[in-house]
Amino acid sequence: MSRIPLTTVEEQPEPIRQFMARRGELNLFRSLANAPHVLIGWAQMVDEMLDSPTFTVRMRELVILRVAHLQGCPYELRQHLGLARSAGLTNAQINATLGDLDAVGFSRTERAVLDVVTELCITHRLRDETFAAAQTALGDAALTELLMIISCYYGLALLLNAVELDIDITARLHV
Amino acid sequence: MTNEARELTLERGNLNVYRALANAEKVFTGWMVAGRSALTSPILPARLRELVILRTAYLMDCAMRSPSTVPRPARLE
Repeated sequence: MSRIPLTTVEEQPEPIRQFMARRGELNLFRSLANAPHVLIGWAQMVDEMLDSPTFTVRMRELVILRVAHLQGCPYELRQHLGLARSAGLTNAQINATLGDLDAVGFSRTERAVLDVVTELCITHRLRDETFAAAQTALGDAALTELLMIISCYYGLALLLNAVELDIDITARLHV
Repeated sequence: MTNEARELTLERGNLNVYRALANAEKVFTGWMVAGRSALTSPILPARLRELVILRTAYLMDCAMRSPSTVPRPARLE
């Protein structure tokens, strides 16, 4: 049972109702709507991240699943498992993302990205070689965007774990 | 940088952190809008918000947000 009551969609201001119509009536958004002063700006950030063409959905979902796994966040995992499958990730690739990265062969770029996620989430820092591999694979713009995605979902996992938000029964994130 | 992104940056201060994040132009504006919302919300007093930020910076071992001249653990008299 969520530790903070969920708001209803109907009581939201128009920009948030539109956001939920675009992205889904997730328990997450209904929970965050308890903080209306920050939700509208946060929603714009999420819209831009999900609409950005910089990464494929497959790559973004790999990142999010890895963050969710390392943060121990069942809500994030549950919402993004379906998206990961829809983006073409196999069960073996998903299992590797949620455990041993060496269990399957990821592309060089995917592995560089996953290594960034792993090292950053566990140690809060990146070794020179890990940073350089990602910078070579992505360039400065995409690497910066990757770090922003990681930090967004890392922080979100903390929030979700704190609130112990109920996993959505039917609502799914639209990307 | 778009005019909106530039205005949002100037509003907060021309910090190195924003100049770094602006490399990701597809998501920078939304990030700055979200940051403005969090920093200007009237719900938490600035004192409490800064306590949270300092404690987070300390636990994340983040020199950029901690007083950089103070050895860890930071002790200010």
